Amino acid sequence: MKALCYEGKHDIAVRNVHEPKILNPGDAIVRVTMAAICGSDLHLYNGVIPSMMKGDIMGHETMGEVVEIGPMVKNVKVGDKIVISFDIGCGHCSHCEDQEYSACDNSNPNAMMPEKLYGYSGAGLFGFSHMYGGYAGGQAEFIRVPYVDTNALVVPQGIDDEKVLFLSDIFPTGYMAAENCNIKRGDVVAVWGAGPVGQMAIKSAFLLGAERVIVIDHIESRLEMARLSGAETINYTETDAITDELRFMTGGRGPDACIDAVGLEAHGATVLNTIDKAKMAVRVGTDRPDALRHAIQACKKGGTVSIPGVYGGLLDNVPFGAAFGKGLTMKMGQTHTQKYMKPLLDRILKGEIDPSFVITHRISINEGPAAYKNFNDNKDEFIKIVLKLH
Amino acid sequence: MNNLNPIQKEIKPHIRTKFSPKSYEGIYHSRSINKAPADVYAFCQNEVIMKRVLQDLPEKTENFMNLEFISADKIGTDMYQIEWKNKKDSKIQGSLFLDISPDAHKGSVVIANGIFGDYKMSNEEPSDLINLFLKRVKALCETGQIATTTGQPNGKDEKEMQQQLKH
Repeated sequence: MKALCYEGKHDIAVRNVHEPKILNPGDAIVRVTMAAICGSDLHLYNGVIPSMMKGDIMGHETMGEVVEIGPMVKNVKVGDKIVISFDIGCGHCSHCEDQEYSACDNSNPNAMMPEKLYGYSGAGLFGFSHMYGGYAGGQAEFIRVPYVDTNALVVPQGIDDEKVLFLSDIFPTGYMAAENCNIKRGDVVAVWGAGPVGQMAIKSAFLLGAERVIVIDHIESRLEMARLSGAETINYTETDAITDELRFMTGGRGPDACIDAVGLEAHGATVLNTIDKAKMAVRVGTDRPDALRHAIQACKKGGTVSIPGVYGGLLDNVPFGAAFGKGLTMKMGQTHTQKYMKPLLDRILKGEIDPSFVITHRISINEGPAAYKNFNDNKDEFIKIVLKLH
Repeated sequence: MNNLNPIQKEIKPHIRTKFSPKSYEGIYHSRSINKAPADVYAFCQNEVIMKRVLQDLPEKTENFMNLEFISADKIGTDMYQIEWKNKKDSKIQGSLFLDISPDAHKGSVVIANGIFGDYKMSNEEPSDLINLFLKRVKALCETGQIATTTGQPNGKDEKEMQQQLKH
């Protein structure tokens, strides 16, 4: 079968690889119909997430048709159309029972690696480095899904793939980011990053009762998409002080909640971000947390900073004193996708939202390597790319 | 003693009484398992299942993981102990202690102990081995399977497939 494989930094290739097989009794094999390239795939592409290896199959936003199941599988049958969560839960540990799927105790076969780095290991993730389990990803014609009873949502036959594909990651991620803001009717929410997760966070914040959403980015096509969702926008290249701008727009209070949907590779031309870039270039720094710095600085007293953006290592110059001084609540982490898949599918079926609005490019697997490059270089107004596999 | 948590209060004294001072200096790791202690106890005594815990380990760990159980006892209410030793080297031995999880947490706490004597392993930390062993017990006990990626497709397959075609 064909698969998009990591060959090294800035190098993705289409490779012919063996088809996956059942390795454990709770596995299923899925014929992939559609997959997407996520903004967090670019962290891998840019070589800033450690423990990727040559030949690793990329992708963690995937859906398809079940073609084979292991003997322990109960909830899924051959022929079912499923959306696959990007994080892998075992379904039986205490975290999974508490719906904290991305904190699963059992799904990461390389758990000892993050245990040494982070104290404890989170769940395994599809196509997201060996530190997160080394699982082959879904930008391929077939994928093996471990613990499929927990990590699949069976979707109604006949529904358009594009409408439900993003239940695998970005819709639940944006929704959990908004939910973590504890939004009350009338709240103002600021969102850094108008990429796919940011776009979903905007829609979700409105669904959860926010009165205003203000979005900060520098790519005009993304800001335009945010405006179409009802958000106000700030192009940070056109302002000297984002915090001042937000303070002005909120009557001097600051946003009630701030969402950092950017993560560890912030752009921006601040002095600190320039220093971050230099540190990463010579490998004495791991992350560029410039969006997070702004979010903490801009948030109102007693407000919430929600962080769906991915971070990997040690963050320099984060204004923790400001967070403490203003009594902020900070919530973050990989999404507990499985918790949100069914309720969000219900919202889609009721017509409250159609997440496919975010798609800008539809490509074949052979176009994958070029798409990665263009997406990373912000060419052709890329926001969300989907691959049609079958 | 009053400041000790339930594990320290209840399990550590058993360790002290069961082991000689020398063995008390061994390596300890603990994990929570989302099953009742009696279920974990029954699970750990099942030789067929325990063989699965130990299968497909990295080659260099096989000597150490060549284990047999020498005793299994109920040592208190919801508290069990299983002792094991290495089949080839009796200096390598250890125990599993099972107790009910404290307070609001569910299931059991398992403490694994390993004594390595003067056994030396190249590039392998004894502490990591005990941790790995315990992690596998937990995974198999909770889910009936141990997470793996061995045997999955990879971009390196292409070279192998091309070589097969040549032959």
